[in-house]
Amino acid sequence: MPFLDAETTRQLGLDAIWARIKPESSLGRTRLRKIEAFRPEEWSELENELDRLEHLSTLLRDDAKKADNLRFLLGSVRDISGSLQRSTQRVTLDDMEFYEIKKLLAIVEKIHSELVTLGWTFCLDTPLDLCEECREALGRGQGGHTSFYVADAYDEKLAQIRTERVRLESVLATFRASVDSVLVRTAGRVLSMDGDITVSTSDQEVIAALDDIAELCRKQETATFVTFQLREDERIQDVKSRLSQVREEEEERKQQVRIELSAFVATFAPRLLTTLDQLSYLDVLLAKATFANEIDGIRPQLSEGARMHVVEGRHLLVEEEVRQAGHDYTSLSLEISRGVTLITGPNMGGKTVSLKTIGLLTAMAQYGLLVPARFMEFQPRQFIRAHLAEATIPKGLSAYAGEVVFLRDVIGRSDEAGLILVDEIAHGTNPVEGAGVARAVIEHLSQKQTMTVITTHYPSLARCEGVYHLRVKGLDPDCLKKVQASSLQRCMDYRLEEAEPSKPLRSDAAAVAEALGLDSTIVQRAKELLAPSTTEEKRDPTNG
Amino acid sequence: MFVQEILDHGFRSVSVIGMGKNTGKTFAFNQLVMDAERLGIGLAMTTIGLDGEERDSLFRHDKPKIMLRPGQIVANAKTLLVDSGIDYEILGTTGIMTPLGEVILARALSAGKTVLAGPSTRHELALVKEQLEQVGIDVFFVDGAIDRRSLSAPMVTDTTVLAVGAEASWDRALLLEKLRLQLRILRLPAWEHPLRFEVGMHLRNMEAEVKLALLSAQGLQDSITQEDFFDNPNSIAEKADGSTQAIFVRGMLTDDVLVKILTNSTEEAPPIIVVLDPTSVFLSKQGFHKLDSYQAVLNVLDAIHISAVTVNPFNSRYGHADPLRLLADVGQAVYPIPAFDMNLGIRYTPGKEGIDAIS
Repeated sequence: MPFLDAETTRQLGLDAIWARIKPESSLGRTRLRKIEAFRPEEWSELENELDRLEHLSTLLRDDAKKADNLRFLLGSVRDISGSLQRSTQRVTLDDMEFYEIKKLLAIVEKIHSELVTLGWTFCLDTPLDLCEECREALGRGQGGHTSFYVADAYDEKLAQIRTERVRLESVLATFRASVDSVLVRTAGRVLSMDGDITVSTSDQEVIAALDDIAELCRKQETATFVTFQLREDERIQDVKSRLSQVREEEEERKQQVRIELSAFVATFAPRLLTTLDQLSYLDVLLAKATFANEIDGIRPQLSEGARMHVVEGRHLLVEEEVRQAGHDYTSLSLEISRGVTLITGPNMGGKTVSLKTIGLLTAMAQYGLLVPARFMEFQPRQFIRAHLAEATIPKGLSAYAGEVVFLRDVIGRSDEAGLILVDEIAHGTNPVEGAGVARAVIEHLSQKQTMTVITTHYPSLARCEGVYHLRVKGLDPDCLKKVQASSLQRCMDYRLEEAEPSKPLRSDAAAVAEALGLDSTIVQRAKELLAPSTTEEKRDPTNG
Repeated sequence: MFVQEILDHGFRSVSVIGMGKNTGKTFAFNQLVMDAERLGIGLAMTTIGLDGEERDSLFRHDKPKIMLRPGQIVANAKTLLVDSGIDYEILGTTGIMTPLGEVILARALSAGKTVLAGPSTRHELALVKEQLEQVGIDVFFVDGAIDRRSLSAPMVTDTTVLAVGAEASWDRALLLEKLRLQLRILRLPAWEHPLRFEVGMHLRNMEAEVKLALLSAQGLQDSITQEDFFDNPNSIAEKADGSTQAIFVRGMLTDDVLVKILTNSTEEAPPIIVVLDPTSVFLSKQGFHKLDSYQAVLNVLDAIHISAVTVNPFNSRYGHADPLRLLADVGQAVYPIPAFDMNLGIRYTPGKEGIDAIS
């Protein structure tokens, strides 16, 4: 079972978190798309990652622009792993690929220098490999420029062929230039790209002059113009023929150089691939650190014990939504451990948000991210699975059946150190049977290794042995008297508190009904029915 | 030499666009490049491949070749560069993909001919231009294309040469009428406003549902949605007042849109209508008549500069038209823009009888 599945990722809002982390290079973006969570057995690796990220984010917090140059350099890195892999398969690389490798090595050197200058070498386990020999090979005879061409220095024979080619081209250019100079004098123009010149028949003087030029002959005549073209004698034709041959030889030699250079590059391919991996890691690390500062993230602490302690944890997406609506956001503080934790409380009391926050913070921490909280300590989990109100119901199943399928699957792994989050357990069926099934599930899970957090309206579930019960503080009755019905949420205290077993569950149903103006006699009757002496029996048919 | 005139005006990038196929666009392009080469200036070139020409370049036939000489820089698709047989130095990659591979910046180390395939959008062309400027060149030439989208090239370059050919119409009167309409669109003047840049930035980024924006001396006054504009064009008169100076039209300006604006604007003053650039204008000859009859003015935020018109007398169905007559007719029609027959090496000279040859 993977650490997270797509459905849980979506329900927790983790996909939206990934979208906010923005590496500079396509390599970094690819790495982020494929990112894996640290497993419990990778404890020390996770510690190292969080240490490094915390250190980097602290440095960035002091001066956010410090990393601008590094970001720019990382943004110039292209994924050339395809070329490197092909070179190992004895495929001959082309000039563009050599250029890209050469360019990469130049960028690697700059990034290395930048890390040293910034004092950020701690970001990588090992220093970047500058592959000096490879860089030297790709820059041979090119005067230290970043460009690439198959220079004469690669092959003596190539240099000789080129010299001959240039000589032959010069012969042709001289021939053409000599004709052009005559044409400039006689017609005030030069030959076209194709070696011809067209003259209007109204300009008979020029036509006559061009007829007298031995190197020209008539190519086309119409009533309105005459076109002349170069007459190439045997010597020029020989030069052209030889030039064509020399160009082929030059291309063959260049290809031979490319074959040899490709084989040489292939010997560096593993090192260069490692470098690309380091660059993508660095890119993602920098993006994570930037994001950490954007969310005011802290380093989560790892716990040996099967527990989770969060102080003022925030679900970023919900927080934004709440603040955009002009309300204050209530953060989450709780301490839970192995077994089942039950959260009860009124509708709109933030139970689902609590589940989402627990899940998101755990997931973020285990992916090596800093978390939006004042403090967090947790034991890494083998997996996280959530079934929240917005869960997608598998095709052909009812909401209840969908939940049962979910429970069946996670219970199958309940001996592992997982995190299971269930919102409004068994609410999709009738309350009598639903509460019964829910109780049985809770009894089972409370004996297991996994950490389970469940929200419910069923009061009897809180009395299951070994269940830790938290409840939403709920509506403030004094506040309710002062505000309008449309402002009910202002009176809601979303904080969780440990429920006292002796106290009955609160749903605030009667208070809400009263605040919203339901007939007072009905509200009064409801309050009588909900009185402490009768509450449990009336509300929970499965009780006893 | 015409290139010298272009440089003397301070232009550092030139595009060549055609009024249709076989208008001699690539010939004119090659001549300009050759002239620039003779002046010994550092130059770079690319093309903007579109429509039919894009397909031509895909199959590598029909599309005319351009000549590269040692030292010249080209932005060309990888496959075409490799297949050209020219010795070259790779200067950079662009990340811009074409059906023939990535657009590569290369310096020719030997002479040879190649087919060009470059970026396909205005944005990509601008990126290529920016990269080439970093390499260090004197002039950048863009072989434009022949359809409306080819106007991307003039939008990115300092000046443009328009190639006109008898292929566009064998009927001289019709050809000149098409040319005048085309030039009127291409030469639409830039909107003059003290806050042109600030307001222009705002207008470029307006939401998709906005069709019109009313502009006053202070900038954006009010806007009208697509829905309101088409259902209740009266809203223009309702929202406009004495301070309204111009109406910006987002997206296409067609005859229908123009008539709706003209007939629903206040009658106090003829309106100034502003569009993004000439590519937004889809007015017919009748549309312009309507505009003139209302004494309205059409402006653009991004204007194009036309520095010359070249003439090609060839028509694939009827053969060659009289090149001198054609040049004289076109020259008169486009005056004061200079007109050339690049093949004959002649230029229309106003105020003189007949045609004078040029150097």
